[in-house]
Amino acid sequence: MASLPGHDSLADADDGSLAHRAADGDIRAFEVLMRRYEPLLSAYAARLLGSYTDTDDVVQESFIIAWQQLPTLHEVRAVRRWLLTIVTRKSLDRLRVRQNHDDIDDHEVASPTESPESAADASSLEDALSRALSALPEDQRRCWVLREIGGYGYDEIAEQLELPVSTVRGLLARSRKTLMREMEAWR
Amino acid sequence: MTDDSLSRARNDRDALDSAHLDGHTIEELGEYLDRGREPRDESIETSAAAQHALAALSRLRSVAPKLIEAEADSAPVRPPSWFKTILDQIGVQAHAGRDIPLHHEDERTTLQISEGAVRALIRDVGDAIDGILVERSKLDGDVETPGEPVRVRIDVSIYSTAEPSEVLEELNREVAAALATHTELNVAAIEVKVRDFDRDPEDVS
Repeated sequence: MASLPGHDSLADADDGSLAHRAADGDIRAFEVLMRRYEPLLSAYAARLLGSYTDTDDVVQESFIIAWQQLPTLHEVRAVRRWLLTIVTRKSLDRLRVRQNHDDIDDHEVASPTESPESAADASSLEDALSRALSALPEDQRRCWVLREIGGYGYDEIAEQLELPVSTVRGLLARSRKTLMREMEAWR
Repeated sequence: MTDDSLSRARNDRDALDSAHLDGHTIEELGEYLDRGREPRDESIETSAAAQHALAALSRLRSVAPKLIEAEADSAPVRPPSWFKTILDQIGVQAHAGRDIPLHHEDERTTLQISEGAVRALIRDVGDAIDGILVERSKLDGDVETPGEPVRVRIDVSIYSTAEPSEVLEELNREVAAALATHTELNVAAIEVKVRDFDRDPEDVS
């Protein structure tokens, strides 16, 4: 690619340009988008799935779906939101399969920190909450992540997790209480 | 944890119980916040304890995206092979589009170029020009029938340092030349549209 003034490569292009280029068939543009969003999507999927192995598979599958569906994406400025939606869907599919196989013993809980030490030892508020989030029961963590990171409504979460809305309400309230306590303790 | 922070944590734990929230619960307050504090609930808005809890809930909400971004930042970087696995898979399903026939002296031989290859050609032409980025293009018309008129529509973005009229004219000229060299399309017109989200926010389809 020619050296554009101040923009020597596609790496500097905005999401919209990259999404258009990728939909037009440019694999390099898609690679730039992947590298830009892979860390966020993996962190998000790991929080929903609680397993590194599943996270890898889900994020890779999600990118392949994204490539296939790019030509039909109209709101190219919303690439981030759109990718998160694909990852959510694939993650929840994976959870349902896992539940059906009832083999939850063989996955490890994804925790970006090594030890479940108390929030007071954390180096930042994010770190403290990260630990607290890891310590939450899986169903609480999943609800909280879908609500606060995924931006889903109560009804959507209930539908996706195949739970009554009242249960989702309760799980969210409990997760919020725990995280609020950690947050206050850290201050 | 120090004694002080322990007792503070214990106080906060108590503060989250409904007995200390003027009869309100965290569940109720969380949902009130989720609804954008609408419709306005006087009993919540006038309770100091409920306000305190609402503030903490808001703070937690504002930290949530930063939390996941911090986790993303601290995760190990994926090796190139991780991305290559995906690229190898999507490479075989590139968006090829229609087949555009090319004339060959031997009538028994059929030659063709894919629509996707023509789009790639147009992108390459743009990449060779400073200050412009070809985002996508579309061939309007019956490209599968030789001689039928085709309109080439190109969406571009232009970098702020470039002179729009100059780069647009160059792109137009170079695309016409490249299509004449590599295809037999009867190009009736080349229309270049500059993408401008700020001025034309709805036109992104």
